[in-house]
Amino acid sequence: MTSRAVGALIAAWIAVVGGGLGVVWHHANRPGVAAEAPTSWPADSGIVRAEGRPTLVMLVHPQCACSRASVDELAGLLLDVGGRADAIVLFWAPEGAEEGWARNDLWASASAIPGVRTVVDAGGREAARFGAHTSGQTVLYDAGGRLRFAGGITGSRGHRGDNAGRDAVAAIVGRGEPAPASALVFGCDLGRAQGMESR
Amino acid sequence: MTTTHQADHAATAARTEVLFDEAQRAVWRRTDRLFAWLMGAQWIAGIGVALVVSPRTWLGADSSVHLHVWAAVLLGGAITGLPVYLAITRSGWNGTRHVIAAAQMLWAGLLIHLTGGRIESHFHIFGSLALIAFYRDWRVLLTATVVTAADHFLRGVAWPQSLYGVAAESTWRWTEHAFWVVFENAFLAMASLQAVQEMRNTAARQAELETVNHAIDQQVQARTRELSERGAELTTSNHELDSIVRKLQAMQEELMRSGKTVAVAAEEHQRSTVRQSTAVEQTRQTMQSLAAASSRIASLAQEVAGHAAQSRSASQALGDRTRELIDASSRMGTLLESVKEIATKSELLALNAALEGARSGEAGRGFSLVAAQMQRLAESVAASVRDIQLLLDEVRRAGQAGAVAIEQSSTTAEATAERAEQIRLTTQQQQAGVEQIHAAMGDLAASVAETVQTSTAIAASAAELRTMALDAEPGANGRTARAA
Repeated sequence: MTSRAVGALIAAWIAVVGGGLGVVWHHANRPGVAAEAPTSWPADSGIVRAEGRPTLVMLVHPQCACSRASVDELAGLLLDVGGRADAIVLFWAPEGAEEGWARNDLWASASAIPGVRTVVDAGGREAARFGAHTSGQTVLYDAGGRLRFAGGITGSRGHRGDNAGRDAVAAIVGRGEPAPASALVFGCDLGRAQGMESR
Repeated sequence: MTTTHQADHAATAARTEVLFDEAQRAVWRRTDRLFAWLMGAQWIAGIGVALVVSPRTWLGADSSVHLHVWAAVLLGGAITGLPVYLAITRSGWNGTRHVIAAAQMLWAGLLIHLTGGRIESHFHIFGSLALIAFYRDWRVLLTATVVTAADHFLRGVAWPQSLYGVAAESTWRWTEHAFWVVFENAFLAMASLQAVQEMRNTAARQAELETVNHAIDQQVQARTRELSERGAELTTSNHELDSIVRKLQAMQEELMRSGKTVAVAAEEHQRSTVRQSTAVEQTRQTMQSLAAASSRIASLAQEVAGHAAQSRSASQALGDRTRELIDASSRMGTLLESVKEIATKSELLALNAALEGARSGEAGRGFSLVAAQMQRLAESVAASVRDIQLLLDEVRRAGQAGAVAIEQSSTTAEATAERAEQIRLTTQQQQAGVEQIHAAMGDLAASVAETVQTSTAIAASAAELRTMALDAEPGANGRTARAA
């Protein structure tokens, strides 16, 4: 193979790999559908909000690989805020699913985080009440039940590390500072639209 | 001398460059092969990570294969393919290691992505930089750094929140990450430069060693040629020596055979000499007996000669007596003739008296009787004379025969005496000869005794010679082997 051919091969390789990486990065950074969270704690929610304390609710798809990063970030976030907020993780489960479908290792990981309650959201009713469409959707209500933040706490799909959502929640809860009220959310679709179609 | 030294220095410098280039290329090729294996391993590991961490993506209750799995298989394969291909087909080429460095950093990014950005997976970047430093080429580290920085820069530009979470700061935040990479690369680059310098020093030392070795080789070759010549001479000498050894071996074998033969002959000679010694002793004793017998014979011969002389004297006396007897017989014959004549005449007279008596009748009868008695007496006398004559004849014949016999006896006695004398003389000579023989036998016995001793010594020497020949055989063989 001539040097020119090798050069062409390298150029093609750069193009293919660059394109491939672009696809992967695009997928990783393509946010899910943002939540249409109610500005006040939903009255019909079955979840009991903590009185006089901010309450953070995260909705996750238990089978979604990206959700593990969200749960890990939640653990770090709660450490950052030093127990100033209650946290509830709702594990979405299809209607009629076996109990083990939601209570998997991710459930165990979330349950192991101090100050976190884990709840199965059978049929996604609570997700609907909080307007969540994407696994990892996090909503923060202050002590008065007003919405302070809605978004994801990961920088991309399944990607741990510093991100705008986590920083915002930490600023609001931990330091009482003003922060963006939203952030992109990355994760699997909870299938609400699918469910609605099926309904 | 100076010109030669300058030429050697230039040659050493040139050789240093060649060796350095070879060593560097060897390092590059070795590291290319290392990364070829590593790329394959990373591909497999990436697929495994994708299958474990994010096998499927979900939409509600439905799922499909996660994009990470396809990325690990396809994009991972694409990242791996070219560097492995170049490592195999263009190992050592400059472009190969740059592609490998870029691919390795791309793999770091992909693995970080596949593991969900776990902080531990970021160690892959620094580990990869350390591995890339194996090339001992700071330019490759630069490529890796550029790729990593580009990755962060581009993602920071395109998806700022994905990297740093803070979109506003993302334009320059990538420099912070790149700093740590540069930080490590600075030390790795220094280490690489030091390693390269050490390689160059090693090459210089090796070149100097080779120069020295070359000089030594030339000397060794010269010495080897000399040795070869000496070896050839030695080989020739060895051939000659081998020939001599073979001859010596042949002689030795012949010597062994001869020794054996001599030993056998010596033993036989010894036995023969012993028998000869015995025979000589017996002969000497026989000669001694013979000398004694000769002396006895001489003595007897002398006695026989004496007896023969006495016999001859007796025979001569007997002959004289015989002749006297014959003469007496002759004279008796004459006398008998006279008696015979008287008898005849007496008879005639008786006859006449008888006749006269008969004519005288009765008166003559008495006469006639006397005449008759006289006639018978005459007849008796005549008959006795005849008988005596016959006896005398016989006596005479016997005397003559006796004389002849006595003569013969005398002659015989004389001859006997002569023979006895001859025998005595001969015996004396024989005795002298026997004594000489006896003396010679004594000398011969002494000689035979010496010969026996000599034969014994020869037999011992032959045995010793054979032993020496047998003992000498392995040495000769060894010498032959060495000569060969």
